[in-house]
Amino acid sequence: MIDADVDLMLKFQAGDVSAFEQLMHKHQKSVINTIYRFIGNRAEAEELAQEVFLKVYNSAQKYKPKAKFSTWLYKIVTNLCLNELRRRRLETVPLDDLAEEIPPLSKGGKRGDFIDAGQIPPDIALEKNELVALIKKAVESLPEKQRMALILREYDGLSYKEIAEVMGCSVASVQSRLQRAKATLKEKLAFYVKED
Amino acid sequence: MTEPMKCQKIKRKLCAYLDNELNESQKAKIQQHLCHCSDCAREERLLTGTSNALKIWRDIDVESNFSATFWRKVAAQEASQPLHPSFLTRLIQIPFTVAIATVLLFGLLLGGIVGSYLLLQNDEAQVKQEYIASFALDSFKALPPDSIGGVYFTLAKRRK
Repeated sequence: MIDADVDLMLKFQAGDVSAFEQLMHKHQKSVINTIYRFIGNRAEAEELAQEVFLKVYNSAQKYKPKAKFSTWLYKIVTNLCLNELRRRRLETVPLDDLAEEIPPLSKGGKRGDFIDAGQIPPDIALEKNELVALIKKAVESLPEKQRMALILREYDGLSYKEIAEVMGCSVASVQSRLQRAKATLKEKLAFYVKED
Repeated sequence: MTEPMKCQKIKRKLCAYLDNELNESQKAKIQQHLCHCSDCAREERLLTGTSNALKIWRDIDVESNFSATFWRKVAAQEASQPLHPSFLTRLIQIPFTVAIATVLLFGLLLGGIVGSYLLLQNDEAQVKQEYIASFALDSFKALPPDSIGGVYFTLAKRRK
């Protein structure tokens, strides 16, 4: 089966700029949202999404349709997100600040538990936007590879095989990352998760 | 109390089971286990609930100027590149031997120009030196005795 996006990319390679516009229009929302959920800042997400499409635009001449276009696109997104996070860590967080930022290990707690669900009385019904903020914080607290795998699965609907291709790892490793990510989220959101 | 080994294995696969990423036989085994293990069944419900909770975090909308900003960036990028990339690529692809021959030819041409200029500079200096030397005192030699000048000088000496 011919991937319609690959077809559009090949048309752009041949000089049809409108094909690129169609591609960008089709994927911009998912690209921005993937980056937003990973980085946590809307303005930066838009900025990085622009960079993603600039990379696609500049790579057109070298593009060879080896896999699905979306897999290639998400690979660019993932690499940019991981690089951005590494750049931020190197540039903006002095070691002293980092030490202050990490909460001490509490009894039975894990390092990185920024939301202590146990301290919020469960009988207080959270507003939806508060719950979203809580989910956002919980996702942000995940290790970067678990977080990216979770976003690609839960919000972009990629299969384990596709995630493995995007992240350059095995399907088993994707399965393990998702299992650990979900287990962490289940703990963090325990008070607000209904048993369906 | 430690969990039975089977439960641990099942729990490790629950996520993939819920994501429909297992083969039919694995799925059947897990389904069977969930029917009589209340602990694993609870775990399955909690994981489903977690996935459902995540869905509350909705997509954000794309800014209306996203496309315009992108094309402005493309224009800025192209303006900052004086040479078209394809030209540079072609330049890089010139065979090595052709590049060497070009450099040698250019060297010869440059050598010729510099050499002739230096030669011209030397010639000019030589002519100038000869011109100055022509006015030196040692260039005036004694007059021959049988010349008019020589006879005049002889007569003048005698009268003195």
